Amino acid sequence: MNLKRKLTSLLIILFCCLGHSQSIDNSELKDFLKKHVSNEGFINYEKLVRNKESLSEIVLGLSKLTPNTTWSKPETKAYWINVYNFNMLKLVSDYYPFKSIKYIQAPFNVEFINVNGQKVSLDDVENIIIEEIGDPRMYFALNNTSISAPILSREPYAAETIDTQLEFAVKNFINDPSKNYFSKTTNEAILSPLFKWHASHFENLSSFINKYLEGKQITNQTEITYSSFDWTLSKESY
Amino acid sequence: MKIKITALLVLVGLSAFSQNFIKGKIIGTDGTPLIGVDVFINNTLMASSDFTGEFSTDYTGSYPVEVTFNYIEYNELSKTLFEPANGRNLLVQMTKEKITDLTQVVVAASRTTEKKIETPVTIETFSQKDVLNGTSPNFYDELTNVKEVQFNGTNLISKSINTRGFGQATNTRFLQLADGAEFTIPVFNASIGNSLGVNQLDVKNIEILPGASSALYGANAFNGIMFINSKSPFEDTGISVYYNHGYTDQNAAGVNAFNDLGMRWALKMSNSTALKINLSYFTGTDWEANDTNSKTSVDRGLSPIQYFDAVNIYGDEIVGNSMAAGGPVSRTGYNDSDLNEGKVENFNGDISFHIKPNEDSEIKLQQKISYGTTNFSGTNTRVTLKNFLILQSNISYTTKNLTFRTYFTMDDAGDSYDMVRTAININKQAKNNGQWYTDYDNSLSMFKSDNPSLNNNTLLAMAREFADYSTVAGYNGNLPNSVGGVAHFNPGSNGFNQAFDAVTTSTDLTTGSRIQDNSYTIQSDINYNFQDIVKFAELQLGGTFKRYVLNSSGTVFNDANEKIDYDVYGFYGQLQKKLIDDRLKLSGSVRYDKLSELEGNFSPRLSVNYALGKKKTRNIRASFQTGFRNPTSSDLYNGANYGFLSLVGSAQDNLDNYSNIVTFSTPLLGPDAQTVNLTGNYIYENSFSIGSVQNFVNSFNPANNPQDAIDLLQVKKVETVKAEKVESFELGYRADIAKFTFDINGYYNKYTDFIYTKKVITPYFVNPTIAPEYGGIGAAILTQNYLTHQVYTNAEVPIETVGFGFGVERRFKKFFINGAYNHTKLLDYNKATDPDFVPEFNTPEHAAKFAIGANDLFRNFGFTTKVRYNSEYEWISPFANGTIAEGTVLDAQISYGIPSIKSTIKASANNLFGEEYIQVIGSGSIGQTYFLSLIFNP
Repeated sequence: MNLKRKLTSLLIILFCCLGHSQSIDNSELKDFLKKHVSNEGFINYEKLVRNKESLSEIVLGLSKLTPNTTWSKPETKAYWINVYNFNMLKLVSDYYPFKSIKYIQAPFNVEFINVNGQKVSLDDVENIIIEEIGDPRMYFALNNTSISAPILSREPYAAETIDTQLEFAVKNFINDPSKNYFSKTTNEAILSPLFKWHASHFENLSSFINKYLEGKQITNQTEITYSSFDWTLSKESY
Repeated sequence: MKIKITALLVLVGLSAFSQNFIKGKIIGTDGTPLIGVDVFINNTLMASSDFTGEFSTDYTGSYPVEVTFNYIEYNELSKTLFEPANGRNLLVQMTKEKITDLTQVVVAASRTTEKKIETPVTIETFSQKDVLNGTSPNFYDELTNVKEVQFNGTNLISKSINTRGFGQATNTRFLQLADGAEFTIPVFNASIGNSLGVNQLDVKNIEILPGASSALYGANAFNGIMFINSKSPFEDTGISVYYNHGYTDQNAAGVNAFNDLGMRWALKMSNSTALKINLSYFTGTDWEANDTNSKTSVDRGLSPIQYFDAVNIYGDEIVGNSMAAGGPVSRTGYNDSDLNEGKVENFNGDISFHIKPNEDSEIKLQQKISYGTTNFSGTNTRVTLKNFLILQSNISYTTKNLTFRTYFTMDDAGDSYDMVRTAININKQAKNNGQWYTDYDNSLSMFKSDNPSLNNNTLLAMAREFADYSTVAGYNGNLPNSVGGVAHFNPGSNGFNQAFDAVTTSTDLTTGSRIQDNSYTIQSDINYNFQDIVKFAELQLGGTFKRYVLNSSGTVFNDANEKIDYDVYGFYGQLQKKLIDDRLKLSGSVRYDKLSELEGNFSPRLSVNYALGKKKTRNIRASFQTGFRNPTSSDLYNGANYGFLSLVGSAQDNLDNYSNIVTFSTPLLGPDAQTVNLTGNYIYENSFSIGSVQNFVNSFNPANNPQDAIDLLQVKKVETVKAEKVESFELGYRADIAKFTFDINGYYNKYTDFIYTKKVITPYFVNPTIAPEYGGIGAAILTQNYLTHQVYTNAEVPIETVGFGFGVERRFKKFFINGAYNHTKLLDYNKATDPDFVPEFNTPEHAAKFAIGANDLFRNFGFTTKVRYNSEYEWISPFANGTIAEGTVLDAQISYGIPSIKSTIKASANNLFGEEYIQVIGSGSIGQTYFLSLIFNP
């Protein structure tokens, strides 16, 4: 199935399946994240592998939910972020140990995610988020276990809190010196490649960054370079 | 067309070339660039980050590739690059390692930065936090609680540190360095406490290497070495102050106040210049030394009232043979406390100016001063150091790889004096020894014949009183006429004070006791780490040169006529290589040292360190090293004459120069006065061993085979002293297990040519024609015509020690506990080979230490309790021998922090509930200390 068709069919689910209202219960997700993610956003992979079963159940639960037009925009946003992050964890739990997600054969293209019966890949989910929903803040909520990726939130995304959560995620990402470096002494910045990849989605990159940046703002004069994406597995060092 | 194609090819070539690099920027957790991070590609060092944290290196190999970042005190970081694009512009954030006891960085063990767990030999560390949590009045005293450290305190502020056996009051076998420079006092050839050391507010950390370290640090690091490192004025700036006010409590001296005030000021004037000033002033009352046990090891088989040489009574060393008493009689002495004011006063200061020509180099100019008054137990005598001044000027230049330092250290003994000699010469001012003994003999004969009913002890006491005062209070019988002199000066009397002043200001050894010394040393050290040039292993080369100039005007050394100088120099090299994923570390080093006149020595060290466990949290180490130690200035050039004892250093030129012309007379050689020149060579070649003299005196009977007793006398040539050597094997294990940190070590040391001092009896004459009933060749001894000499030589028999230590510590959220046990044992050796040799082991077989505490138990309250235990052991030194009792000492402190004014108040007690204890025979017993301490901005 090519991407276009897949997206179309997913969108059909999204817009046509008028159905019964589903209550989304995040409590299992919440418990799971609390147990496997540290305050700093580090994932305990060993523990994750041990608790594969409960992760599978969570992923299964997510796949049974059917996004549809009755869902509010916040509900939709929260759902897709959670689908991405938990399926990413699922993938990791099947292959760990490794030093980088890139050691898995085409990790983003394997269609292992079940969304209401349809098999899709991580790339597909990311595309829905990027192309269809149109909230650039969501890029900073998706974790792919690499050092350069946004960290995994300890809280599952939920409709009621999603705005605060996304604001926090962006602020956290921009001010994390391991993702973006803003020199204190010179007018130079090294930005995450995410900003380069999604450049077209930011109306004005400088003002987007300045909105969240703590400390000295960037200007037109700021010499901006983009770092290389570091695919090394993000892991707490001892 | 052709041109176009070429141009295109060039472009393609350029773009292909431009792919062949990996570059990036390395930052810390807070985003500041990290300078000097090593970047390894496939385990080969390819680059280091510059001062903007950036690095760049060519790379033409395949992908994926592993890039590893290594920076001391940071977690090692590896990244996998899957394609060239991944390495275009890396943003590398490194996180600081969680510092545990074993991951802290040390320098001393291998002259290079490494983690404690990686060191190839045992190392003990002491941090600024340990200073603050301490129970002692100052950080130096607190070192007594460090594993393996044995403290030998001679007074309130002068302590000597030792590890692994053979402790001395003036420890010439243990080297102490402050920021790399020895703070050895020239005249003593040893450090005295923290004089010239580091101010307590300026201490950054301390590293102690127990056991021989000569292979890296030269001859004096024989028993161990301590490094005190100070804080950089570029990093720790501002003003800090401490004030301690407390009381010492001792039976003999009573309760006395002490005060200790100190400050540190560091000013960073610019990014490249900084200034640092440290000052401290201590004043208090010393522990009074009042040990009246006999210090003599020679039993003359006579009642103590006639002959008794007490440890802390001086003047009683003078012994004459009394015909009336039938044996040796000692003169009446003075107590230690009669001969000094018991005050301790010490000022220490240093000022340094630091320049950083660039990011990784520093020039330091420093001047240190120490000035004070205190009583002090030397190896040979008790001394009052009065207005004693020590100065050190230091210039150093350090870069990432180079260390160069040159420094000048001098002392001025000020108004210092020798207490033993003071007592002897005050006595002489009253009555010279001839007068005193004649009065003693004459009166005793008269009392004996006049009072046949009185018992002998009463008669001896009366004779002593008459010899002292030329009268006997309350005795109505006949008294002989005194042959001269005046009455014994009672302490505190005007006569005593006048005599005291006269004696302590005279440098004439036969009438005075003043120590005049202006000795100095000049030392230069250089070390270069070839890490940027030699890649396959870490290579370091270095050298040191030290000139000693002895200038005591004959009051300490045999330098009355001219200054003595000699040089010591050494070179060393060290190679270290890490293998097997950095788990195996091999080090080898060798050092050559030479002292002017003596033969040079090579000392190698080989060591292995292997890391176990996934995170390298366990570690095994093994090392073999030889160490050696040159004789000290005192061993070589001593020339102090005490009248009853004369010290003669063993350097060949000293033996050639030493001369003591003695005039004596004896009826055995006729009526005329005789003159003998006791030269150094004569003393070393013709003296009787003290053991044989004792056997001779004990068994000689003119009426019963006197020749048999005479045959017991032995003349044994004393070999001149040379370097002593140790071969040391050590095994150790360090581990972090379940939040506990363990360190276990065991060692075996074999010492050959151990340097020791012994006493020999040099007769003024040896005449084989004298009849056996008059003593034959021993006639000079029977007629008291001899002098005891202290000579310096090497043991003929090797001695061995073994030991093991065990330490454990754990940090909880609020509490910390640690404990250590050390076993140190001198093995049996062949005592028959060299019967004069008695090892001065001076170390308890069992020592244990335990501490529990909390920094912030609740609302800024903290506490620490420390307990130390030692088993009983013998203390042997040229000055005095004795038994040091088994003891347990408890120290405790509670502290309260006031963060708003950056201050901490601490109330502390040392030796709480305990009995007084002694660490050095001849020094005062240590009572209780209580104090309040206020520290601002530590």
